[in-house]
Amino acid sequence: MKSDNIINKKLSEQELGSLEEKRDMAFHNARDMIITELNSKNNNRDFEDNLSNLSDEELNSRIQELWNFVAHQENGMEENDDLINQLDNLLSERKRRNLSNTDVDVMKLKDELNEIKKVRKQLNSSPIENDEIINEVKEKLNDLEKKISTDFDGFNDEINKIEIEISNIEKSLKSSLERYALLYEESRKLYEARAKRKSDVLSQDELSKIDIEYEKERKKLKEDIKKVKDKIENCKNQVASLKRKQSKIKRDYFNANALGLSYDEYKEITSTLSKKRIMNAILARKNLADIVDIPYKERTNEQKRQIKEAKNSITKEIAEQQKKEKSTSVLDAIEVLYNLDTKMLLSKKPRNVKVKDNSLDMLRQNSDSLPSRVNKGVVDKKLTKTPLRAPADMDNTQLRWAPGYTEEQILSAIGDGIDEPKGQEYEQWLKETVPLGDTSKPGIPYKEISPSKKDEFNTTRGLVEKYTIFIDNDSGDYFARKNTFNRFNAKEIGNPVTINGALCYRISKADVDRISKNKDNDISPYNIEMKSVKNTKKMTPVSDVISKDNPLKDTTPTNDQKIDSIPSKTTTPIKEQGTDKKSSKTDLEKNKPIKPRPNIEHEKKHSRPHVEEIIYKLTKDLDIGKKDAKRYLASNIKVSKNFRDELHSGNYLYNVVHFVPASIKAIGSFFTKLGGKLLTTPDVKNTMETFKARLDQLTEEELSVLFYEYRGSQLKTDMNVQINALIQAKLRDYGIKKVQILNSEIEGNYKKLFTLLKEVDILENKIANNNNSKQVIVLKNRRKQLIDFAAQAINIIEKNRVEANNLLSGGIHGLDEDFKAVSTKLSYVGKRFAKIDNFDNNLQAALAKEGKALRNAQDNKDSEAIVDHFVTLEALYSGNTEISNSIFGNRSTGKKYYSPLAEEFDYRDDPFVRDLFTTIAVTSATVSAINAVRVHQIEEDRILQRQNDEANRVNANNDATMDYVHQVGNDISGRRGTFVEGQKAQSYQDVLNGANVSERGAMDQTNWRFGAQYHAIDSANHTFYNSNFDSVNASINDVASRYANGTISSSQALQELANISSSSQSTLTQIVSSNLDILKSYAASHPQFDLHGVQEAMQYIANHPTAISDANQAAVDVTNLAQGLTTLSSEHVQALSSLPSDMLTTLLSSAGAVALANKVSSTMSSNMKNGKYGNEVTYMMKEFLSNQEEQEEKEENKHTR
Amino acid sequence: MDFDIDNEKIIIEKDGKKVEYKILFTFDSEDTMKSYVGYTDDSIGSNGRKNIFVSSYSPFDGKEALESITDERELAMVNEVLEQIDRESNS
Repeated sequence: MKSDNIINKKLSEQELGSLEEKRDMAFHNARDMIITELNSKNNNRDFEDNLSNLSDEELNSRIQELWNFVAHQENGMEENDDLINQLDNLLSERKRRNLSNTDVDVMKLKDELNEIKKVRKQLNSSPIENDEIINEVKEKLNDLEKKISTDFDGFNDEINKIEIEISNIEKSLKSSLERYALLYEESRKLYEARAKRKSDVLSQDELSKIDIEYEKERKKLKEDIKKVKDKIENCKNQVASLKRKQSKIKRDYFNANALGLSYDEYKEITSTLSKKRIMNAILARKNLADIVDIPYKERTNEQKRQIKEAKNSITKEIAEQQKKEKSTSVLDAIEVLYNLDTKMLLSKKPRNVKVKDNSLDMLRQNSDSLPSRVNKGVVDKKLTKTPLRAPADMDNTQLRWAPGYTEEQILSAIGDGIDEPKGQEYEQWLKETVPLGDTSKPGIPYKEISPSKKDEFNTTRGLVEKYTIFIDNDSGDYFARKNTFNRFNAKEIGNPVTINGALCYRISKADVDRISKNKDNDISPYNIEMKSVKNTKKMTPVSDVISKDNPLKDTTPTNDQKIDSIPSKTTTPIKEQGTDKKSSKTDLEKNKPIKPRPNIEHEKKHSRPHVEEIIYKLTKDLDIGKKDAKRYLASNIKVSKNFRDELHSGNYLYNVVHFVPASIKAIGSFFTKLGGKLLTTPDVKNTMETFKARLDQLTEEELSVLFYEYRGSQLKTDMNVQINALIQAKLRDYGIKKVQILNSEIEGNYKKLFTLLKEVDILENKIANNNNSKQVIVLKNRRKQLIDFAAQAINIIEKNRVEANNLLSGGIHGLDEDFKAVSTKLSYVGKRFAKIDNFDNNLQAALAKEGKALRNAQDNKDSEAIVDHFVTLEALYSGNTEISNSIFGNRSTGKKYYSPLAEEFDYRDDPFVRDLFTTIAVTSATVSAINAVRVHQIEEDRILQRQNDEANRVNANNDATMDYVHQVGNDISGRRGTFVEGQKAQSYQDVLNGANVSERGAMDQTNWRFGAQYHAIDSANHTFYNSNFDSVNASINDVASRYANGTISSSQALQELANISSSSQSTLTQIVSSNLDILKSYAASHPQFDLHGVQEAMQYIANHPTAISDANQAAVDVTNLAQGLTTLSSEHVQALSSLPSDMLTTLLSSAGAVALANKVSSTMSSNMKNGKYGNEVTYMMKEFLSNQEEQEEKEENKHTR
Repeated sequence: MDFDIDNEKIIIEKDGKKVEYKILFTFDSEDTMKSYVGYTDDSIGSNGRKNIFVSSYSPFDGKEALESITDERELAMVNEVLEQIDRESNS
């Protein structure tokens, strides 16, 4: 049966609903039909009997009447079953008679009638159906229950709860359905009753009365039926909702499982992420802020998918973070992962900006009397009532000027000055740069009120802003609400307190006076109310951690911070404090954002930690090692077999060089192996790793303490050699990051400053050319406003620069380092080749004058003067800075070195000293050259030949380089011949020295046949030579040490060396000359000794006595042009360092000096390439100045025409 | 990763050329938390002696770089080590 099929089919809620509706209708009608059939049987009998008597027209007319009646009944078919049956019969009769169709759609009507009958039959037995549905629900729940595991309590609890709820709803549903059935029964009975009554012979009035009563009862029943139907609907919805909830729980459970979290943990994450502010902020971090801003309904499918995927990945990331950092809360994990201040996000409420209609009207009315510019602004301004939404990524730091606006954007926002600026954006930009806590100027421009000017403007004091200042009767301190600070750009002092349930901060008297004084200004007047408050327990004591007076006031540790023992080995307290540290620390603390705390009544007193506390925290329970060992001990010594064998043979002597020869390349694996083998005791490794981890966990405040206090004498005293490298690396990063932020602000404010100055120029022109006095006033006001903002920018620049410089330079010890660094010139462009000019007294006087004037202007808050003197001062610096491009590359050649941004000095050791002396291995300068010569076999001819070959080869290389040098400097080309001569002479001299020694030694061995006189002279000469050697050697060492400590410059060092060389050279030359004749006569009489080489060498020396000296001097000059001599020098080094010549002469020879030049140039060339001058700010300054000059020129020309 | 002192080399870029240095000896110091390495390119100084370079290396600061030794105590330690090596080699 069809009805059975319907019962067994699984019905959806929708199907059920529609069928129920049909059933309702059919149910009622079916019963009525039965009843009326019964009742109408008699009538129909008569009716049927009469049908055949009707004519065709009567038949059609009757059909039409009936149809109209049935179709237009409000109750539809319910009440008209008997009529429908009649109609049906009439239609059948007509069909029988084969009459044509009327207007009535007979077939359609018949179909509808059949359909209704079918549905009635199908949905007849309502009680059975309802039970079936309930059974269905129950079955489904049973299945679900079987599938769910019983291992997870939370999940089970939830499911059980839902089941209980469903069960209750089922009961309610069942009772509703029963009630529904009852109501239908009543309805049927009512209908029956009516029909029965109407079947009697009654008057029309009585019939009407019956109908009225029937309607009344029926209406009531209908209402009840409706209620029950609504309840049934509600139950169905609840069941659906519970089923959805079940699915979600199941899904959550599986997701939690997949992430390795418990159900509760997963729920915690999802409930936190359900907070829109947090989720939006995180999505913004993932560069989805644009999509977030689009309303959900307007998002494309792709955008929805992106958001969904992002949310899933966020959940995973948080879960992983929580796994990684155990006992981390969800909010903490979010803060770590996405760098968000969740507390701020959660506590922030959107600011509702509302203006009442009547106050707006009043403003509009008043605006007529205001100057046109202000008038225009007020009239056109659309005050919206929509609440402002805080930006999703807004964090707790102050609004820093981020140089995101280009100049074009800013200028386009400025407009032409007199019309309304396009900037609400511009105005906002202007205000953005005013830092919190700057008490020099208020955030909103105001005008000083003087009695005379007051009459110019027709201000009303109708509705004005009202602010309250609280005075503590006991302490006399002033307090105000947060909005007061924001409005007047006042500085919040200390920790917050609650007054009358509102969050308040202490405000300085100066701010209170300023606010009170300017309440009656023309632009934005306001009221100030002073209220007294008692020092109740709600007012927490103010711990003034950012007070200027005593930043180190609360240093006694709290109970939480007390430490059993601090392992400081100092016996005297650290008294030295850098004079700059306090102010810089205070400035730093001043700018530190104050986070609002929800539970301020229980604010703990916090003390600034001591350096030793922090060091203790870092090293606690770690075996760092001996801290103040006077002698370092070596361990784990490993020696290569070859080296041992070599040492054992005794054939070698060594130079031990402690400087790294050059830059290390491509030895990563070596380090890995080396480091891997050494210091690999697990304890040591763990110690260092633990130490590093602790460093990473230091708080901002602790890092700040270390940064400012763990330096200088403190550093020296602690002698924490083992850990200083790690600490310094950490502090360096800390400081550099802060400097970067400050520099970014400085740069942004410079941009703003120059833009504002341009705008001021435009306004000044307009003022000069405007005859309208009212407009002029407006322009002047505007100009003053811009000047004020410019002055603010300047104040920020100066403040930040001081702060950044202090960060970089640090305390007194840092200043010492700076001085040293400056003296090495490593921090200037061109490094060592930068020129340091003579001191310019006149320039200095000008700088002093401008600097003093600037300070006075700032004290007097004279914005015009601030701008004027600041620009002049900067122009003096910039104008006297000169960077010229030379063979050295870019180098500073001016009297000043304009550095608008804080720059780090180069604290590296000067490699020049190292290069100068290690290349020629001067570390072994004390070693006797004679000993060196004795190691090698001396063969005069071979030496000479080799020397000549080398000299020629070197000279050939020199040629190419000299040509190059020719092109760039006339000086060098003039010395070309000098070099050649010098090289030759040097080579001869080398031979001479070598041969001289061996000659002497050889002669000694062969029984010196010279006469005693010669022997004596020879001996005396050699003695003189040796002592000369010693004194020269001492002179060299003296020069080296003076250069190393910065007493003399590199050029001076080279010059002195050249002088020593020349002086020594002339001594040698004298010796040679004086002995030449003797040797000649000896050689002639002693052919067994082949001394022609010596003779030749001596002859050359004698003929060219100044060759080497000249070459030396040339080399000094050449050193200053090191860049061009790279190729030259390397050949020299190679050639000369392998020769067994006298070490001293090698050092002092021209080739040696050129080798120095090579060493210098090769070390410095890359630095010179990297050294660059200038930055955006200096370019801006230059451009500005050049524009100014152009302007002035134009003005001059204008006037002179 | 094993460290074979007899076969290990350091490559140093000098004047644009790569020069190989043989490792002669290594040692550590827990006082300074550094390692030290002696190496040579077998070059002969102008005084005829063989050049040996000794540099320090800090395994914990993350920089893969040899550093010059300038501290007096470190230098003294290096000298002591060299003397010790010399003594042991000749005994």
